[in-house]
Amino acid sequence: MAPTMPSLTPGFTTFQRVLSTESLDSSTTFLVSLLKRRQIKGSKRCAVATTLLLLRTVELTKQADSDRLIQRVSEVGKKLIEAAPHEPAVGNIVRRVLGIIRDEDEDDLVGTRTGEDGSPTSETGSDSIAALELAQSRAGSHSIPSSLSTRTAAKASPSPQRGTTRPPLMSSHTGVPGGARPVTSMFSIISHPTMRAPGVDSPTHRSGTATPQMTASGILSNLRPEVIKGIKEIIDEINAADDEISAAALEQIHPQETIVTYSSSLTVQRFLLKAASKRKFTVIHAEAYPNNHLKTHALLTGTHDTAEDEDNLPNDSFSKPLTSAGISVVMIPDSAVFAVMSRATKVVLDAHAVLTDGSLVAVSGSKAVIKAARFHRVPVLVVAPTYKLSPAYPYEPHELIEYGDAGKVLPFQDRELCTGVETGVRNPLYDFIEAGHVDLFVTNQVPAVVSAGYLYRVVREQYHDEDLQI
Amino acid sequence: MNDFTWRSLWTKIGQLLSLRMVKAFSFQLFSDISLRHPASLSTPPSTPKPTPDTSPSTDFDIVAFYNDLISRDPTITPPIAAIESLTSLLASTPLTTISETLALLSTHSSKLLASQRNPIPLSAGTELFQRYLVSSFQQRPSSLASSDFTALRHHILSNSSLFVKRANEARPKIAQHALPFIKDDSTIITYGYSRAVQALLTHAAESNRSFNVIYVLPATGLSERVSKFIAALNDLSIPTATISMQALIYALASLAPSAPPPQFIIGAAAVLENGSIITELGMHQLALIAKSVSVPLHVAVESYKFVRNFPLGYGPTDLARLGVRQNVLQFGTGTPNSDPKPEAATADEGKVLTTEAEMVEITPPNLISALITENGIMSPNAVSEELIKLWF
Repeated sequence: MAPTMPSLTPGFTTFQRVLSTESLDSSTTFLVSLLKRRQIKGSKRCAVATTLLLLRTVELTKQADSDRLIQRVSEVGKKLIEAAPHEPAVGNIVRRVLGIIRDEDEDDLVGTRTGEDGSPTSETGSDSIAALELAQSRAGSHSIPSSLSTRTAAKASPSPQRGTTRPPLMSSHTGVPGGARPVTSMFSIISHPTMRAPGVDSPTHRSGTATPQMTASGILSNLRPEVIKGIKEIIDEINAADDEISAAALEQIHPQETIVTYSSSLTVQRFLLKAASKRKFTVIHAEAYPNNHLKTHALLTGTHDTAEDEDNLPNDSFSKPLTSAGISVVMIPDSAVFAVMSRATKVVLDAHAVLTDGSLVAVSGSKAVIKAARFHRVPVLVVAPTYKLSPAYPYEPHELIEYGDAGKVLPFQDRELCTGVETGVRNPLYDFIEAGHVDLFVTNQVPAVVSAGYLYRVVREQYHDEDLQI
Repeated sequence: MNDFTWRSLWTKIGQLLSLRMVKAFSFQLFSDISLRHPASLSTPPSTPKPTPDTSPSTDFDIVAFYNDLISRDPTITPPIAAIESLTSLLASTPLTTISETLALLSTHSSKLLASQRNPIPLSAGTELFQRYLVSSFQQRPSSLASSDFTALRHHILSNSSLFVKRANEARPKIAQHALPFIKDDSTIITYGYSRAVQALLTHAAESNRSFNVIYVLPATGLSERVSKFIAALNDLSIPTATISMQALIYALASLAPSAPPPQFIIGAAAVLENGSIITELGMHQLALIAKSVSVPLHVAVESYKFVRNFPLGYGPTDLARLGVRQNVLQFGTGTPNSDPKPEAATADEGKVLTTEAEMVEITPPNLISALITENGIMSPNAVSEELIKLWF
């Protein structure tokens, strides 16, 4: 592609410009159309674009109390998610941002609560059983959460998982002073996290809701900068993800191994480069024809043209080929994957999205690689930055798969070859790989290397339970 | 020469030693299995266990109360019935101290469990309730800490009934969580009777999903509960087919290839700590079939059915460790029609599950795609964490 192209076709850079000049609504519409037209694509880029837009949303929201912020962010987020159902990263980022707002809000609540702890506890101080029962029955009325009541309830809810103390089993004592702890209304299993809150502090907090928002203006102004700081940390995290993942490379790749990899992934490239700094091993690289073979070739030869990637994100540009690190690389056509798999000791793959049950969406052809690896009992390792971890459950796997330019499979000038084909030529961009085929996931979260069975835990830790449905 | 004798001596000693070790080990193993009382097995170490002889006397017959509950209300599940029985036990017995209460509960729980031929589902309820009481005694509200025990008791009782109410709300929530699984024109295969599955299918039908149901019947044929279930499905105009177990694979192959893929949705009597489920006999076999033809198997289960017990397999010894004794193999030389009455029943005071209709089975977690609980969709791996959250 010519280097002049970026200025002509809108993309990430134009989005950044629009974001800084236009109003929030028009930049939202702009990003929506970019996503719909696939002018911004790829998990990482979508994640960064979403984060930037949400950052702008938080900055521009007037009267930024937590309710309003959550409402605005989920409005904007919903539009983006609807525009890009094929990019789970968008939804993941929206959930992360909502989680940050909730966290900060909760911290503030704790702050206010400790401040006013003296007065309103008198209600619980008298503590007749009738009052307790009242609170309980109120909690009971919430127990089947409609989407509306959860939202309001969730506001007061301390995060179920992030609390340093595990929610104890206790039941009824609703108005315990210092109740920032997530008190489960009856049993933690019986009460779903989303319905956990309302019973908790109904005597103290509910009666006090009217006042703190008015009085504690200092706290209100505090929320926004904290949230903005949090969102900026997400951007840093996205950019540093590849580096953090590669930190696990030395434990995973041993000397004299033969690693099979597939398609052009910078995350995998970085992972292998890091291992190459200390180890000598062989890489067998399948080219991923027809969608990614050119990029793969460029990656391997080191002629990776940064101008081609119209909007090089930081860290993307300085990648050197594996051969320069002293690694012997064998490039093979996709058809040879099965044949070489018997020589491989490990398969390292990238994913487009990783779902909570351990299934993944990856570049088309990955499934063939994974199946071949299973056949030869070769361990499969998938690198997955946190923004790719989606809490969604794959009810409809085929909806996650996107189709691309069929001309890449069969060029337009060869149309006469199509005559015998009934339904036309298809070019799926992704494969859905069901759960249970991957041995290890490497993320940039604290337990960097997790087995597929434990993945649900890592995913759950990323998001607040209230935000799973947006 | 000398060398040779020494060597033979050593090998002999070695053989003797190893033989003795094996014997000792096997003896220990057998004594473990046979001596243990089924009820005490699933009790976790954290629950304080008062000695049974200190338990206060009461004329409340918990077994009769439980059996009455189960027969009166067909929608009630064993764990909930057990909890209700324990609650009314507390209500009807005048108690003055905490340790008295715990002792009473513990003896009556084991009495109740011992009376049942399949105590696994009940044990989930009794354990949960005892744990709940211990924790609410430990962390009672400050106002009640200094007050009279009667106030505390009243408080506990009022909350216990709420607990039962809350537990009953689990099923509609499961139905809600399961809705996205049921696609239009898809086929759902089910086996055994489950209230959760019934609620789930009813909810899906009421939300205008059109789907077919294949009901796999056990070899014992249509039971009364199942035929009621099927009648209820027909009332909702859900097309239902009943097939026998041996027709399953052929039936799966007869489904239209263009239709959305079929799936199993079944219930479970209990969920064990490693994610395996206790179901009617035959489910393991069906799950293996489902796995081999890549049909997903979803288990709709309320999370109060989680039992803190880790099975090491799925055979009779594992069930025996859980307190269920059943004997499938009846070797004999008579004609198959003569139906010899199993002698084992008399040997073990009728505590053996005799009819195939009431026999149970452990289905291992690797055959299960997902558990649909009121807390959301979870993988079998997540069960142990849920239990840890509950108990610690």
